[in-house]
Amino acid sequence: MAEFSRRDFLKTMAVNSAVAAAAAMMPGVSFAWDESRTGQASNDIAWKKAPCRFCGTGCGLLIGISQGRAVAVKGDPQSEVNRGTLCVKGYHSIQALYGKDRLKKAYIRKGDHFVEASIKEALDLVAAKMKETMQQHGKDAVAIYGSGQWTIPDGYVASKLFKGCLGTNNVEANARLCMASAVTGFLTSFGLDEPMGCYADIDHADTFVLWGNNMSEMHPVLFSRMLERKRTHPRTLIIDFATRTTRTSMASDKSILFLPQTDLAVANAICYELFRTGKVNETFVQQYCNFRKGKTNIGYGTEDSFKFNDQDQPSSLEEFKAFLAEYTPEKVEKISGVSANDIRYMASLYGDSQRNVVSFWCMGMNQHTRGTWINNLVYNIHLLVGKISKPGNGPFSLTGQPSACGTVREVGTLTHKLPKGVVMNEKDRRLAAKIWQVPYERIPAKPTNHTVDMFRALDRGNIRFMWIQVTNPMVTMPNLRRYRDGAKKEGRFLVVSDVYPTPTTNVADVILPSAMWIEREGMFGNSERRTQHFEKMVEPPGEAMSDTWQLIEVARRLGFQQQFPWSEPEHVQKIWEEYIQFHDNPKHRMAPYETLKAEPGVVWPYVEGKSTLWRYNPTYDPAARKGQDVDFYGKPGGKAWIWLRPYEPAAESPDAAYPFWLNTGRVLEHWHTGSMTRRVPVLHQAMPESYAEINTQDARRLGIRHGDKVKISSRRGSIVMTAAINFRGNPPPGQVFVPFFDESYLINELTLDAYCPISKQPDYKKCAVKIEKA
Amino acid sequence: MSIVSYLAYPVDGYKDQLVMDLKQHPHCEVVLSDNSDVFIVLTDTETEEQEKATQEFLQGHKGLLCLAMVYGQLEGEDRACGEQREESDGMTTGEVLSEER
Repeated sequence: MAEFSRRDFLKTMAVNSAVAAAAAMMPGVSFAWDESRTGQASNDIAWKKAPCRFCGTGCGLLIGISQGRAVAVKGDPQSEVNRGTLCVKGYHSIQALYGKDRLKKAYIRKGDHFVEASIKEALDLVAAKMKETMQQHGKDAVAIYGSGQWTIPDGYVASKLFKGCLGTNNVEANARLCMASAVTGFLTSFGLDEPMGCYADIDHADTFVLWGNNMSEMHPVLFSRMLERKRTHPRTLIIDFATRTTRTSMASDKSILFLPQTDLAVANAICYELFRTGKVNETFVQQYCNFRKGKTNIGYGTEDSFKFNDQDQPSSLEEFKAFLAEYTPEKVEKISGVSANDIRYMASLYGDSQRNVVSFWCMGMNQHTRGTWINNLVYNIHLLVGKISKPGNGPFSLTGQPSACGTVREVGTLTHKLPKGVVMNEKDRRLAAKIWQVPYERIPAKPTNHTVDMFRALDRGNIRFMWIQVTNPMVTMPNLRRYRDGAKKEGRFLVVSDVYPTPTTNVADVILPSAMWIEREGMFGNSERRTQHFEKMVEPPGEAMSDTWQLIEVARRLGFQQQFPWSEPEHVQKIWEEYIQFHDNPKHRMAPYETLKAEPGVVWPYVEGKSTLWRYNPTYDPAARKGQDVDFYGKPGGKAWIWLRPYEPAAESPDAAYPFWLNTGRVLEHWHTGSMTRRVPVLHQAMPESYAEINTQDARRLGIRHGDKVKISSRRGSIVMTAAINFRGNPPPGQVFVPFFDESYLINELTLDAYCPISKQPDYKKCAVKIEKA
Repeated sequence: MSIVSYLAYPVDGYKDQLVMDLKQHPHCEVVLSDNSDVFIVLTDTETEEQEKATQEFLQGHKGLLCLAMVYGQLEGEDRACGEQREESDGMTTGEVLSEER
């Protein structure tokens, strides 16, 4: 390709991207520009569809392939998710394939250094070490730790190999760190996981309440859709209910700040206020809800020996009302810092019969030591007013990863889960054994370790072999120092499959080079139950191999040829066809492989050739009983559960020695730990390093200016980094925010490994720190 | 070669001057909107020095209220984090990998 034509092409793509971005932010804007113009260089480009590699929104992309290389990206106008627009990560997604330090060969540790190895030699070693470990220490001494970035086939073969063939439930995924509380919230309230609504809710709602959710940076395309809704329906309101001021706050109609952890109290106060003002939909509650209460004062899981099992008991409407008496707006104002008037205002929006209300949340509610409870409480609000499972009305938990739903939640790559149901249920184990062609007795009936426990077990030596795929726990685990030191102990064997060197590959014994995204075939499942297929478009570099095929190769070396018989060209189709046997019912039916290949995405339950956009509503959901408004068929009698869940404080709160709250999170430009997006020059240049957001008043008091170095310390560690004052976000006095994308600043050495006792999801949003000028 | 597109928001009353200055700049192109004050700026530079000077020009222009980067292709220079690390440490990938343990 001539230099001129390539330049012309790139310039055209750059302007096209800007036109699309402007249209997303300012619907109706037009430019004197022919968007179909792609220059001479585009003549040999083939455009193919794929979901974006990064967040859980699941935007549809069209990827331009030329001469065996991905050369261009544009938003897929046929995609119902993003309708042709993308965020800055999406526009640059293909550049993440071509970083100069891509892993192309396997590496095997020899003493204190790595030596290059053939992929065959490395896979032989992995299989041999697994076998040896199980012989010496038992089957529960081996584990696999995967990801919400696993494709559906990756997660499926991992679960089949470990649970069905090896007979251990040591299967976990990093989605435990990002959405486990949403899962347990849905299960405890509705009996079935995943949202009842879909992104089309945005087109029908006129009120959006964002619960601790910085959507303008984390889900920018969905945020754009909300702004578009507001443009076309001016009465639309966006309420940002959060612990710090962000770009989302600036673009919202109202910003309401609450003190960390007190969202529990505010949610109960909203319910109190709904009763006080007579806004409860009593008919809906009577027909479609039951009341339950569980244990209280449930702990935080910071001890290795911690065990917890909730015990639900029946409750009643009257008991619920009495419970809420402790949560008057005036009382909650003192706990939360939210004025009683603002609490009443939020209740009035939920209670207004003329408003359609959607609640969105993501990590703010899920990474919470009472994550299950706060999920339950937001469901309570929607159930009390009957604003649920209807277009424009519903609680909606967003996910952070492209297949946290599709792989981890639906395939069930968690210790207690199976592709359908849970390991504790004999019927579910029998179904899995039948489809997997393994003896029923081989699948253990007891879960083993959730993620934090799995790394604790590695530290203690109960787990000796761990295979980590598509994730970077040596950046993301809370209380990181303990788990990094544990991983490096003698007698541990770590296999890490990844696309770039990371702090996790640094502690590996074997590094396997993975094929990334469109270098292999796969499927992702996004936040709205939409499954999206992508084909292999380009060759992976060197000996890089898909995570699915790595697992199959090792499974065969361990003697499981019968369970993994597929040829390489057809294995993804065969895996899909086997997997969907688990969901062959109208409540969860998945689309056939051919449909997935043809469509930009399909929302399950896929029944009689149609996606189901609103579950539990008989107008849209064939599984719901006719003749009623809703049928919450996951629970007995079709009734959802309204839970009595109190406010309880965080595991660690600021005190005299450590007077600040530490909150961690993400930024627009970088995907999670930055291992891919930091290889994209323009994204790296836009956000080259992490920083500590400090409130102006605190900074002045401590003599800290923007750009100064500060030392942040918790009871677990210290870090020196650059202060950011009035930067992208602004925390209130007494709080500090640090993004976690930068491996040079391992903020998780400071965080606390406390978790929600029900979901086992850690809380990355609250621990106590002190700040000093460095 | 660096090609970057931005959305530009002018200060009220300064749009015409800003657009004229950008059109005269050797490394900037402008795509105007038909119905909005917001417009697209495209920068096209050969060297890091040219790019830096262009960015300084943009950031220093009193008529520019806000500049939002949308897309960028930076080529020919080691500017991504993995590339920088490899270069600055003078190590091969395998050697970089082994530094932790």
